Amino acid sequence: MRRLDPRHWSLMTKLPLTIIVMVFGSAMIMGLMVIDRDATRQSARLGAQTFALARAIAAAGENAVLSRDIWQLYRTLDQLVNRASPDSGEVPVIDAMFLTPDGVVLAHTDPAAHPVGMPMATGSDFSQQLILHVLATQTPELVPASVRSEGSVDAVVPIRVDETVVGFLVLRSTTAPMLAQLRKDATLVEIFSVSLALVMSTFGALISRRMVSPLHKLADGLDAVSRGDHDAVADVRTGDRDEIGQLTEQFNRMVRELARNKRLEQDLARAERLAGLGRFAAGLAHEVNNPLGGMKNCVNMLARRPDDADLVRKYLPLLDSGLNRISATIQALLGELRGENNAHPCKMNCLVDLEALVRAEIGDRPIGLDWQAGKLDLAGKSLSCTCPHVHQIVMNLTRNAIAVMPDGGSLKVAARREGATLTLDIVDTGPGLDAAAQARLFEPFYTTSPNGTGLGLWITYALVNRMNGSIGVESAPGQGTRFTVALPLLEPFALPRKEANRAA
Amino acid sequence: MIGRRRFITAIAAMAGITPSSGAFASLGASGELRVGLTAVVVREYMRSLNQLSEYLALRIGRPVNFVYRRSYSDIMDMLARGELDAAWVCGYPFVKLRTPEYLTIVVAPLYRGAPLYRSLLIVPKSSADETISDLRGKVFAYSDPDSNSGYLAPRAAIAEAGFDPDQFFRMAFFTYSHAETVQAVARGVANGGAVDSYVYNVIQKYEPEAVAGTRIIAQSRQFGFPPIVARLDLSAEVLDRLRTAFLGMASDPQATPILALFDLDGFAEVTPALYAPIRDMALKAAAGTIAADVRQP
Repeated sequence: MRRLDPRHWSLMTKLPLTIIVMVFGSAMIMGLMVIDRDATRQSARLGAQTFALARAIAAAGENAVLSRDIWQLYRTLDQLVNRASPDSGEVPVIDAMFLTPDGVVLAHTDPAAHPVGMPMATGSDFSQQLILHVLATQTPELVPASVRSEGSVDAVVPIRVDETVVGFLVLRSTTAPMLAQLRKDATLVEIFSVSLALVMSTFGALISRRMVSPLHKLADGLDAVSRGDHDAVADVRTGDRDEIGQLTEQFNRMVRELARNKRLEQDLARAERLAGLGRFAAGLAHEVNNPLGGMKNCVNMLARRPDDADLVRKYLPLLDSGLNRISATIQALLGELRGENNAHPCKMNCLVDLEALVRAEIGDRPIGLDWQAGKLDLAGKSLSCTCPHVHQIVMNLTRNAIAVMPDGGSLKVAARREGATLTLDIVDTGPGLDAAAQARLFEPFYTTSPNGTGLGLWITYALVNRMNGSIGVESAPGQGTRFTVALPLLEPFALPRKEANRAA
Repeated sequence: MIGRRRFITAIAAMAGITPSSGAFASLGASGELRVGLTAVVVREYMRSLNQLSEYLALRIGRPVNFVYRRSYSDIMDMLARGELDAAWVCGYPFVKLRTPEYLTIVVAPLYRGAPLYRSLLIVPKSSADETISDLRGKVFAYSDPDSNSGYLAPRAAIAEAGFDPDQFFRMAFFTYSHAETVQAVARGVANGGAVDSYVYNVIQKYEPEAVAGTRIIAQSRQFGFPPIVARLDLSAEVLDRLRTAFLGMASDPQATPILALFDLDGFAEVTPALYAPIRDMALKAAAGTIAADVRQP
């Protein structure tokens, strides 16, 4: 159905079609106007000719009418009818008659139907009204034919001698030959118009297609670009310097630019990925290496004096502590990577408990807490994670916020539902982050705090990501920082069956 | 076809070829013989009539010039005024009274062996009329008001049937040509017409389709064939040569094709007595009105 809707057609089709329709329309209208003019003129000509002929015959028949020379009158009329051949250009008289002033037939071209000496037949084709009118006014009358249909031109001319009407000539000519000629002319005009329209519109259509063709390629090109395929776009070439030409050139430049940018982006992304990996490796190495140094010393000492119980007593806790620290680091990394879905989905009832935890975290620091995360109406929906996960996300973010405000400030935690999305805002009035810090914020082992492990935000990021949520940061140096976490809310039945059963 | 018909008409109406012997003042300036004919001869057939005029000219030693007029009365007037030397006229004008007499008969044509012909009453082929009485109140075509077969004879028949010829028809008109009377009847312009039997037969011979639309419902008795007359003041020598020329045509091989064209056997000497029946009929039909014009027997 879309294909039938002109709004979906290509310009390559629409423009040539428009031109064809316009050219054909113009040609047809012009043709019709010519035909109409011709018809009007021909009709007027036939009327004038018929009238002139009728007047001439009336004048010529004057004496014969006066002397009742029936045969002379008949021969005059008979010649009129018989001599008119279709192509002679003469007036095509169908019938004619001479009448006395009383309407008695003196001569008629069809004597059998209109006998001499009898009153004009009432069924006569001639208009009796017209004859009576002429009798009353004594003025010649002409009833012109309609150009549209086959008919006749009727002329009634009084024959006058010394101001006295002695008879009438009634003459009828047919429009048939004129119409036949007009139809022939009309056919010619139409053939000519259609041929001309065909040639012109074909020409127009070709030109318009040629003009529009770069646009068509541009559209294809833009489509490809929008799909991200910059390399598949071939240059659109056009020799014209018109608007389409300029547009095309700009498009070509844009595509080249985009392709270059994309390559640059890819290069940059790869470089950043490698750098991130490097930093990750370095961070991990650092975290593991730190305790390893102390533990190695302990092991060396213990190896030197294996029987020194005091030493053992002193170093074993150190070794244990070092191992625990390494283990905690690995656990943190692994814990994030291991998904734990086998718990009740969080319905955000835990937010109330969280407030207390955050207040405890703040302790006696001069930080004002603005808690706007009360009980929420989730419209029967729930998050795809458990309460501890939500705890971890909120606590990680608030802990960071508290840590960057050692000299006090204010912390705002807000939760709201927008449709099927739960949004958490954690806003602090700390020193803020520059662009470079923001870019690396979620990398593992990236930290600005000397005591931080650099894993908190990494874990938060990973958690949010696993819930198909998103986390963003808005910050600038001296402006504080706002973290925004958006988590999708799901319908209960969207949960895995096992969990839904347990929930019930 | 039309041409031939007109030609035949001309022949039928031919009214005489007469060298005027008496006053040469009556002859044309160049001494030519002026012969009157009625109706029009179409150009294509001028040559055929020219053959006759050349033949006669050769025989009489003078040029012969045919003069065409529409009606017998035109021809008779011209004869009276001396503008014609001779003419081929109908028996009816010939029997009309002339004081003093200025005409004499030269010869009369021989048609089917005798100088006689009839008047035919014709109606359209589809017409149901069978007698002249049936034509009462209808339209009638006469040929010439001075024609015996085309005017006098039918009027006599009407009078004989007990009607007034002037009131009998709804309308009557003159065609001034027997051939055109045939045409007027065939086309239904007239419901009936009276024609010369000689002309009718000639048309039937040369142009059968022209008479196909007509039907003969009555014929008159035989009358004297329209004679060739000459002015009395034509010199006796010229008159004699002219008469000799006509009389010799029947036996002259050179004249044979001309006679064949006219469908005549030749020419014969006749007396005015041949036309007496026409005069009698005129007297009877007109019941006094025309009587004064007609020579008493």
